Amino acid sequence: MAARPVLVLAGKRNPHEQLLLAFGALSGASFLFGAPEPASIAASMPGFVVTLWAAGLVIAGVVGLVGCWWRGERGQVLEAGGLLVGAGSLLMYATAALSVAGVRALFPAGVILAWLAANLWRVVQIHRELRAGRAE
Amino acid sequence: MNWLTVVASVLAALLTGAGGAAMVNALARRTVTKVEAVNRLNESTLEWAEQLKADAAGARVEAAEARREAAEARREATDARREMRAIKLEAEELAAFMGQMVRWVQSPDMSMERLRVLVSQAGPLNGLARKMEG
Repeated sequence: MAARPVLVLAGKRNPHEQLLLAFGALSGASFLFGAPEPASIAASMPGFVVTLWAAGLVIAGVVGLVGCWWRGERGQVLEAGGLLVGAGSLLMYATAALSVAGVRALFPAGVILAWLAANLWRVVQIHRELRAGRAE
Repeated sequence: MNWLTVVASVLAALLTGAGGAAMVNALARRTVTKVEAVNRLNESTLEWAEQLKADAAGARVEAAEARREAAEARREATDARREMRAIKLEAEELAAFMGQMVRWVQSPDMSMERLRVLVSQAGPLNGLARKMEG
């Protein structure tokens, strides 16, 4: 009996990644332009660090989205860079939420940490793809 | 700041630094140059490319030779046509002379002496004979 062919169905773009990157960029920009930042962040970090955190969200979102739409190796490296910067900002927020609100921040911090882990996971994927591509 | 915040900040700084480095690397990355592309080709592909190049050069030489031969053939055909025209003209001249000879012979007032004179005056009308004389 002949083996059935394996059909792999995969979308070209990942909607979760792109929407989260866009949301990060928009929320970071709104914090930079005067919107009130999260209370946990404001309580646990000095003002300039909060500004850096918001700027990190903007840079991660914009560069990550550009990388997602840029074809080729350069786009993938840009995407990985955006995701790493975003991971840094997300780690700062999750830590601030847990340190200020403790267990009460379990769910929001958990969501943020899952977002962070997904970023790192995607970075590892990109790294492997690039390495495999260079080895061919 | 408690120890968790400090550790998280350091980790966040590391992640951000790595991300920034990746961005700079991506933006500073130059496109693959021709030399690098050649280096990336494996040996068999290079051999194939060299063979293809040699074949193309051979084909160009053969095409030039074929063009030269065709030009030579055209020139020879032109010469042959010219010679055919000359031969045809000579045959027509000869036929006309023979017709004239017949008319002279059949003329009622023609004598042998006069015919000899006429033929000698007409000269060698055959073009080939003229060429040989020339």
